[in-house]
Amino acid sequence: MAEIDKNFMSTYQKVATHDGESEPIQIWAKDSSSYGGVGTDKLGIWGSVVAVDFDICVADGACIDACPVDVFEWIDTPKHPASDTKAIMSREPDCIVCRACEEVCPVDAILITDPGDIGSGAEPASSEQAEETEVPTEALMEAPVAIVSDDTSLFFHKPNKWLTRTKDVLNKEELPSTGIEKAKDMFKELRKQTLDSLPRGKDYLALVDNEKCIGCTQCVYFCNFASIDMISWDLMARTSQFESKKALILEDTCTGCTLCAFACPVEAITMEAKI
Amino acid sequence: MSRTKPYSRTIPHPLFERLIVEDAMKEEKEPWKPERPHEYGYFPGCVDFMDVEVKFTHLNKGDADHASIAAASIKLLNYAGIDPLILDMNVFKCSGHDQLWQGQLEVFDTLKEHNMRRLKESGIKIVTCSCAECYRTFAVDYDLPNTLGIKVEHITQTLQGRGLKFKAPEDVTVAYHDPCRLGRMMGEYEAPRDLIQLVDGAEMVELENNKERALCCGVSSMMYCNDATKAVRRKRLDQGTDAGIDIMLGGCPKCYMHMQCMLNEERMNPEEGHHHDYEMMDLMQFLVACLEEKS
Repeated sequence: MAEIDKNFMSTYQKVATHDGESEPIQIWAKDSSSYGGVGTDKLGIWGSVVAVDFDICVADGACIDACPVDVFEWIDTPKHPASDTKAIMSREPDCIVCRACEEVCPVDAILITDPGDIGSGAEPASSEQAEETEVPTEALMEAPVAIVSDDTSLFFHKPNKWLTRTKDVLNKEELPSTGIEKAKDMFKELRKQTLDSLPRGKDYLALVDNEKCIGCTQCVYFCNFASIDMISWDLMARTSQFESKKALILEDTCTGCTLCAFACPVEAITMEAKI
Repeated sequence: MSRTKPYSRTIPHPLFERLIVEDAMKEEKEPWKPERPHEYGYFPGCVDFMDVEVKFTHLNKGDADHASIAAASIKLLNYAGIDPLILDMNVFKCSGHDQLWQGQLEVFDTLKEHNMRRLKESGIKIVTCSCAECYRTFAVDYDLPNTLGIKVEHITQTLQGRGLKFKAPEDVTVAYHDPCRLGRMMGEYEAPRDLIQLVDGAEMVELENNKERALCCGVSSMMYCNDATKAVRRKRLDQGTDAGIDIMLGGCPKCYMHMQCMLNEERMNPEEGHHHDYEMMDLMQFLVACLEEKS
């Protein structure tokens, strides 16, 4: 399946612009003949920092749910074969480069480029991101709400002969539903609610409560900026002294995207205003 | 909203429990009526929520295929000539086992009240579960036989003694891992073993600790997973290697989840030298793999 061209800034041409909320949105296409304008089936790639390939976008809405700073909104694109609405990046300058949308997009139509890399030649930045985003492609297509790949067999050998047999038998016929869609939808809903209930953005910073932190490292995995470190602490219990690891947020790289606060199983992470 | 719920401070709440609590707090008062009356009801439990959990978290390394346990159970019930009413999770809610054992009684009571009302509306006579935890919760904590007159069965008890025949595609040595809820708590050791013995070509061996002396998977009620619980699980898995088995079978999706997590973790870090070269499966998944082709 197609995904957004990682080097579109060098291989595509700027063909048009569209009004955003404060700044115009750049539209890219292979050449001027492969862009037909809104209302046709040729839409090209929209946006620069937040680039969405509208020819791939299926309007699943995952990016709108995931974005902590509400960059996206819907735009009507009648007559497009993939979907008749698209997620337009109206508030592109607000992007905090958390890449949450990139990860949740079921068809890999989104590419985020750091604004700093755009002026100084897009080449090195694009190839770097190509590596970053390559791994989860396949699994995300199967499971649109998954944040990580569940196909762990990609990374190691696993004797799953018998489980494969079970799946073969079960795939032969359609069995009644047990309500699996509900769990997936609830996950999306909960994530949106949690992100909405927290202050977020450039002016905020995540803060770990050491009393609550259990050192599970979940937040470390979730941070897209390597902005969380695990630090050893010497602690005292009633009868013994022991060492325990706690998460520490690195202030200069934290973008206030709230993903770690959602991931924390003990609510040890809160969002605080930067002083 | 979701972050202000009174979660306990000391017990971590993985995503799927947050979802279940969220689900419990939604009020659904409209009456529900199944399309036609059924004698049996099949309760799949929260397997779908567990799938979301495994996909979301980086700490639980289990496989995201718990929904196949429910699918396999439905297929086996149909194979045994039972047409169960699927107690769909869109209508029912989680049985609340983990919430009860973690002390979130308020959440448990809400779930119990909802499920009791729905079970009454469904008009079924017997409810069968593929999850040992749901089975115990329905039978003991909901006390369904006395309150609603509904008989509660574990799926192995439902399938037992129905003259089913299975044939393993190849010779295989299996061992049955007794879940705490089904074994020690409900005293059911024989039904799953009887089912395994129906499989032609499968040799059943007993692990060193079996029946009432069986070892636990260590993560009871999703309370915590740490080095101590992992040590218990590793000891259990070592017993499987000692017995020379090809597949370890469990009777509870939670056992399956935690054992699979451990096995995957070991395979991801081969340099640590712990290795168990066999598969973990739920009994229902295994039986479906051994179904004979209908000609």
